[in-house]
Amino acid sequence: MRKIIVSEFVSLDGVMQAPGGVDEDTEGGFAHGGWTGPFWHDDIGANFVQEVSHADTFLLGRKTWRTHGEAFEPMPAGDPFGDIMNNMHKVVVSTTLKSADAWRNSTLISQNVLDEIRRLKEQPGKDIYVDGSSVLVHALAQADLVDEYSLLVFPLVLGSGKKVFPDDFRTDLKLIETKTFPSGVVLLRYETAGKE
Amino acid sequence: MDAVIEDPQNWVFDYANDEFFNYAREQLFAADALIMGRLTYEGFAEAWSSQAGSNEFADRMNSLPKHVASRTLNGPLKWNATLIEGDVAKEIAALKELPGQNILQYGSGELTRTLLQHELIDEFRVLVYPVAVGAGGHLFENIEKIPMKLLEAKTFSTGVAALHYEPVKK
Repeated sequence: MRKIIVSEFVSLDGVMQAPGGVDEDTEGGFAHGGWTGPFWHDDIGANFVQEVSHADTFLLGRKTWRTHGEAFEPMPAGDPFGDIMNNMHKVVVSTTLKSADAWRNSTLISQNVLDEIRRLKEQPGKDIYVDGSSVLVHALAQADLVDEYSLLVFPLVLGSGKKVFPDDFRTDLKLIETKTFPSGVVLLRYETAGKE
Repeated sequence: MDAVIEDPQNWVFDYANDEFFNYAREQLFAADALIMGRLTYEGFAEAWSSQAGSNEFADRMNSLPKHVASRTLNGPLKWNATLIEGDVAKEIAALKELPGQNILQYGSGELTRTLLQHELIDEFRVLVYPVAVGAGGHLFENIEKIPMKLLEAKTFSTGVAALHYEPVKK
């Protein structure tokens, strides 16, 4: 079966909100948007390209899908990240979106979300990659649908913000890979027990 | 992994092995003083006193001088502990000036916040366990944004990652 891989940028205190931009997600009064910037390194980008080479589908929540779509849809072909993001099949989960036309190669799941995702996993294909999408990730975690967590731990404390793991969620994991990047970011890659 | 630090005794022992004990031992023996808040003091004094004489780690823990920050405790304290009188940040800054080995704080809480505000912490050591426990107090709760410099990252065969950081001073 295809794996669902949850890939997140996290702070040392487990916060994953708005890693890329100041206005990306200010919900809850979050004022630290764009916190990954000072610690970016090309090797982190190379790691992303390597990770997504095993995937053929992005599974995203509405906000993350929209943020990525707005960034990548207008990019002309030839940008290495843009090409990956635009060519990949995207599945966006939302009960409010009417269509997924705003970003090419996207389809919408708006009902029976977990069943649809289970069906997606059973279809032949490469891995399914999730980033951001905190609401979706919590739902996937609680439904035991996540096979791997790939966490890039950034060397800073944020103090508050949305977390990768839902409250009152307990799980045992297996550390399968670690990597240290020159800017002090540490990759911790975990496999779940796959109880599904 | 979810940054919960409350009641670690409920899950850390599943991951203890020689590698971990050596790490913990090295850290403790590289320190010649412990600092702590009241909660850690009360929990540790009881837990470690009961293990007196059972191993060199416990003996070291029991014999090291401790400096306890508290607004409610009154001295004298047991367990080779003294109450920090007066301004905590000033007293700990003075302690740092004395010759000697490292000063170690286990756990993190209100004292950590005070020390951070006064830029008195030289290193943070975070052990990331391969488990999400869901409920409990979190690491660095109510702490303002702090950038860090990664000093060292290593992993134990149990899947625990030891991450050492230096807080970046303003």
